[in-house]
Amino acid sequence: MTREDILEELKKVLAHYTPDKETLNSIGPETDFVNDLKINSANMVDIIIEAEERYDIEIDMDSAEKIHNIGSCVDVILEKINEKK
Amino acid sequence: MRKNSIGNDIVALTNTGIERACSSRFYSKFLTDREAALFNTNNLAISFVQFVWLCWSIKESVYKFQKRQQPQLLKGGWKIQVHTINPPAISSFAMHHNLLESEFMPVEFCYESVAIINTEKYYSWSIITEEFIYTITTAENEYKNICWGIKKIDDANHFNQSSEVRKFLLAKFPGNNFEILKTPAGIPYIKEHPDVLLSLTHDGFFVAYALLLNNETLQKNNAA
Repeated sequence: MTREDILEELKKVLAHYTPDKETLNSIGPETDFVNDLKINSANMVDIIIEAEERYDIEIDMDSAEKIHNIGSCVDVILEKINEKK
Repeated sequence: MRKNSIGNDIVALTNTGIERACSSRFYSKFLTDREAALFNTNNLAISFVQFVWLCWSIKESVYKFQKRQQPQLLKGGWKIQVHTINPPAISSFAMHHNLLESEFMPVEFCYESVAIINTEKYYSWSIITEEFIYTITTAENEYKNICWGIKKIDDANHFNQSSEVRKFLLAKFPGNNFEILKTPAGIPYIKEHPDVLLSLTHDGFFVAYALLLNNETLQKNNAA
């Protein structure tokens, strides 16, 4: 599983939550969930839960705290996948 | 001494999916066991769904308060600990019209809470109705100087919410062609009065603003 794979899957998840489809097409590591993608902050919890289900991982509060943009989200997912190995 | 600040947050309880808060998988992502146990303290007289979203609203509002003081702060209300919640003296509060505005916080109707980050305390006042939970965070005694408003809108589209909340606040200053902008960190400000402390929020069919009234320039300008 590469960063690019995760990013592509993450885009599909985010499509359900962002009202800004245009920005979604050009997201990068620095894209902010709330300020750039206009995602409702409570939906961040839903996105974390979806990521947990998709990758069979657990993202605890300490890890969730690190998620503030696309790059940090991919980092946390990769970290949790690698912990399983 | 801490810089003065303000934060607010609204949760529309009529939104689809609001009931998901009852799932421990959901609320355990932002509530510790200690916080969840607050539900059974102090006779809060609210449902568990309302309790979860009350805690969420407090954390969001505290985060905005803190973000204004520390713009480099990253998103995440996760480490904000709701320490105590006290119920209001008068528990029935309802919004009978589509608009509610006031130049003070009706504390007798508010849930008062203290949140802690490290050792720092943050004070919030929340109104709970059947339709929404609204929270304002200020310095301990600053709630007396708060001007705030809640409005029900017709279209819950994000871009409409954003436009409506700006129009709603700027209607406080008729005759002035003020503009609301955001700093790169996402903190809103009035272009013509960047020193005014304000906070904006929207969710579902509700938009709300809160601002501190202790700005002489703005009051003078408004009176002109």
